[in-house]
Amino acid sequence: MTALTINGFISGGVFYYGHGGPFHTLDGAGHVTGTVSILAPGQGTGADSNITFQNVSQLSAVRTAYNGSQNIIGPAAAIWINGCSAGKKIYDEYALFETSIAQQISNKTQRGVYAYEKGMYFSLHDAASGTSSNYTGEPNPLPASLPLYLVPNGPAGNKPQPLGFTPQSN
Amino acid sequence: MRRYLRSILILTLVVTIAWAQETHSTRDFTPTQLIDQFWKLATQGDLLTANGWERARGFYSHSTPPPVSKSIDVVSNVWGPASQKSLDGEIAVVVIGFDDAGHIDENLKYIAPKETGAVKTGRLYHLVFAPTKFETYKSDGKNLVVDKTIVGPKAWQIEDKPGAPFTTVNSAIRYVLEMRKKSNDPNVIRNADTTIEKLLRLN
Repeated sequence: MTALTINGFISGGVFYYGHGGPFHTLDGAGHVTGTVSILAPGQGTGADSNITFQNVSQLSAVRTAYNGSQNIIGPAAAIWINGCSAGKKIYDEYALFETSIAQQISNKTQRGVYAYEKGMYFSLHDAASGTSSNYTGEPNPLPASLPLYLVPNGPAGNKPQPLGFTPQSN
Repeated sequence: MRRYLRSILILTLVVTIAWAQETHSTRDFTPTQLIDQFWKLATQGDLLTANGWERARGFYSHSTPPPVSKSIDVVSNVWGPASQKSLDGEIAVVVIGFDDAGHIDENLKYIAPKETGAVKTGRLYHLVFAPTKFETYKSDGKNLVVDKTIVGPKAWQIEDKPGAPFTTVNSAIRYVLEMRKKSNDPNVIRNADTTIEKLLRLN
């Protein structure tokens, strides 16, 4: 949050790099009973370490902040989510309808959001010039040097583009 | 006569303390506190022993006999805290986050968790706010059988059927060490050694 609030007005956009994907809820026998679309900026196991349909409304504060005394994110700024499957539409157990966390972030922030349907991995090359289709095509371990790129799973030379999400009402 | 009175007094005290522990253990908990407390028992390894299972019974709204199978599920040392998914009057749904750390079968062989594609997982619990019940027992000459079911004040209780007994990685290591010590089967002992090595790599 401080990255958003202490660096002045953001007119262009916000980039998220981190975990995302399906959160599975299980019954006592270990069977999957439902799936939730999440971003997981924290690695903890508590609910508030994730952004889900249940708490995404907290991001509505972006609108108040822009209109209020402390301008943070301009109305034309977009949000790029670089995390696995954040744009994948699923039947969300918390929302109880089909959606993705990227769509929900767009709805609550009233900003455009870009996110991938696919999983992502770190690569030595960017998505346009990459030679791998997934993490198995990269050195293991990756070198502890830059540049590194977070790119979507998909054929080398034909990586999927991020999907665009615009604000909707649920 | 004094010895008889003293026995009655002691018995009364024991029953009172037992009842107080029973009611204190779950009566005042919110739904999320109840599940956090249940997972604390699991972390201590209580779901792996008959005595521990007896303590866990108070968390359920229905009778839960100890599991017959000796296989156990293993979860990450770090879990929770529980969060409330929904609350509708006297019905609540709670989710507690954890990482699946695998399974140990009856022969103490470790089985790694399946790849599910999930970035995180949580266990779902359905709770009901209902009168607590606990049973008193009597002997039928051979076994202890239920004598009476005493109804207590309302408290949040788990409605789901209990799954396989589970514990965290660290308590699973202790469990395997203890079971290994009790076994004379060389296969089981070999499995146990391999399992401990694998568990030590987890957290």
